[in-house]
Amino acid sequence: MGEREELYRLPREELLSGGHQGISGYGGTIAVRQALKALGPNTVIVVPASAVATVGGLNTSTAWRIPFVHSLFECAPAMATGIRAALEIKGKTGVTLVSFAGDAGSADIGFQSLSGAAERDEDIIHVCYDDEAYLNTGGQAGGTTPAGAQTVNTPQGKPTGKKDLLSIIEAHGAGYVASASIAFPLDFIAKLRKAKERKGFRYLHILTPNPATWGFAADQTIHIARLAVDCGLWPLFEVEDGGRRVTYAPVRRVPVADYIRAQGRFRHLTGDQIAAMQAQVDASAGGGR
Amino acid sequence: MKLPTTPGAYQPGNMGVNPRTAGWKSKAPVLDAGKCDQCLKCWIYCPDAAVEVTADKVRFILDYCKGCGICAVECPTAAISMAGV
Amino acid sequence: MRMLLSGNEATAHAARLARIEVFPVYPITPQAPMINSIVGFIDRGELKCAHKRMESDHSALAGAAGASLVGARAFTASNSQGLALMHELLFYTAGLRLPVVMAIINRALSAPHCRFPDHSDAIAQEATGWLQLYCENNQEVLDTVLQAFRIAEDERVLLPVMVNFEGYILGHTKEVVEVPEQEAVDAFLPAYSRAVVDVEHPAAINTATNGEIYMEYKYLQHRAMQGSLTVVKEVNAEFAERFGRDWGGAVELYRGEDARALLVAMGSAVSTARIAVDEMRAAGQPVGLLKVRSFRPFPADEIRSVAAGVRALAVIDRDIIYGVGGALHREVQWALAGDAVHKPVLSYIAGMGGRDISVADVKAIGQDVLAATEKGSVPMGAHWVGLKADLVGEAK
Repeated sequence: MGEREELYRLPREELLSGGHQGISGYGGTIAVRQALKALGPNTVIVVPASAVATVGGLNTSTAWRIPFVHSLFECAPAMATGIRAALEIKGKTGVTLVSFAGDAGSADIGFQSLSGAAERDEDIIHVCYDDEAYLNTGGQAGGTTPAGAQTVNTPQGKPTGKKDLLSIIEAHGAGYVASASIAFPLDFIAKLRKAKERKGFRYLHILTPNPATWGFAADQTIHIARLAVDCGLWPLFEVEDGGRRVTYAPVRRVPVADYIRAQGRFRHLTGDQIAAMQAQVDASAGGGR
Repeated sequence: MKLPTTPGAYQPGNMGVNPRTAGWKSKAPVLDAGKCDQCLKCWIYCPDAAVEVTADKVRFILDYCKGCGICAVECPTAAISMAGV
Repeated sequence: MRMLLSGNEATAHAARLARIEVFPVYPITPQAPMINSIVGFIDRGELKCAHKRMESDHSALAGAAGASLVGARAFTASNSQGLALMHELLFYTAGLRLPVVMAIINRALSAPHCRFPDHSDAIAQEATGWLQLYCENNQEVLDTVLQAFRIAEDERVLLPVMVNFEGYILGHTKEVVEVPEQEAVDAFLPAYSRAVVDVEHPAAINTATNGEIYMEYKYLQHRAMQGSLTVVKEVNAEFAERFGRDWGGAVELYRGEDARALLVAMGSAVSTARIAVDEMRAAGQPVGLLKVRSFRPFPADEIRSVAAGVRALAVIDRDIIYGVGGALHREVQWALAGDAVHKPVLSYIAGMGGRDISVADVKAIGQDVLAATEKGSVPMGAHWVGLKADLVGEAK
């Protein structure tokens, strides 16, 4: 089936209505929309403090058309644990339960509860939407901010590298772990559908570029997300019951410099620094690290 | 209207009715229907559910559109242009 | 059935009889024996409940909140550092109006490290919007946990409830406890099923608010807390009728007949004070005892009316608010503030970090307060019972 036919077969229903308050061109809301195409209406979503927690609700109005819970920052997977336990004890089966957290709510302040839920093999899908900085508070650096990125609190560029949360969760023994990109929606949706059919703890990590903090024009969000994959910095893969598979391999990799030079947060990097990044990507061979 | 006991919003999707976002944009997409081949790229990449696909037509819901221009950049047939509003 | 139970075990039996459905919890001394008991009930098929082995106290309360949102009866337990770690979730649970019940096996807070009891852990959470009930013995612990669910789940309340009892003193000490029959408890406590998270009726819970409605929500919470006082009393009265045990509702006056002075206390010190008051009465000294069972909601009107006939009060606090004094003393003073006749209210800090509060200690306080009825005035500040003057560099 071709890409066009697959897109036509996706549900048209918008489970996050237009009129939500996400900023223009924001990758996080693109990820939500694409995810909901796979998850469907029989889904409960728990979102900790983050952009997605606030875009879909104000006072008594909401853009959500599925049950949504805005949890506290560090405990979306823990709240989901309680929700799943209650659904089971009440005999409510067939509900897909997702904790949908940003990079802070997954890798940093939220890491303890994420690790706990993964270790207990809770029956939830955790999606980390990663915009590589703390968007709600003005774009400070966090654990998943890559090395060299300038942020408001790393004005010389972040001196340490990106926390590899995918490998960390894989090391917990999760049954399904996958990376994803908003530029490859059918790949993301296929992974979520696969995850949805499984039980136990499932983890997806999707890169969601943010024009405001990464420093690019709002119409470039998808383009930047695609470059991250095509240059080999953000390989698309899945690990199913320990079996690793690359789900998309660019026919010909674009230079890392194309990705780096397109973003304001890396504008201070020298040619040598970018060459070193290129060498790292080449060494990893883009094979899902 | 008395507030519900547990704080929240109990009418799904009601934010999409008369949305505040209608006035957020300085540019809006314009479709050249002759060039459009209905590939749905604009639909799947839109952050704002502002692209409506009916049986054979793509249409923009301008009250939802924030004018980011992703659709215009991603359109493989250059059927979408951004115009000032 | 009569059983020999520690406070931890009495709580576990209450949880079983309440048919709790989700029990997310994190072990902490001295609460852990309760977990083991409840897990035992589940393991033997005596309780159908999901025990969730959480990775922190914070996550335990997050799990309980999640379960309660789906309409399950959720229960957890903590104290001290664990309760402090839960702090933001206490506000969250109360703000979402979720009837979670939590047993607090009171324990002192670090630093310095101490695993023995005082009430400072729960008192520090007084502004979070939870009801706080305090127990004097293990029978009251069992009965109060059962009452707590009825109170919390009452449509007029819909607020979470803490049931407090001191670690070791009650938590680990076995007493004879009457364990009611399941059928009787079922008749008292019907099943709970208020689901706000439900795929059949999608709702967005805890949407962002602004000044347009936030203040009204806070008012509603305040009103519910105030109104819960009636429910605390009603539920206790109904419980007394069904089970034959009356714990006084929000407050209980003991030997108040012709009392010239009242001792005021919470928790296990109440049971000690009963003996002290009995002995003083036997010696012809007109001292009564006011047990405060409900610290939140605080029964200010009842205390004022009960105190109307006495000339002085002495409040025993097993907690400290630094630079101010005892929390219970502060509340009692506030309750009496509107009285036309000023009464001395003496303040005592006792039993911090598990130091024993003896009958002799309480009798000495009784003598003080009787003396104050003659003098009509009291020194400012709290008296620290049994403080070792040499250790704090103060001459005796």
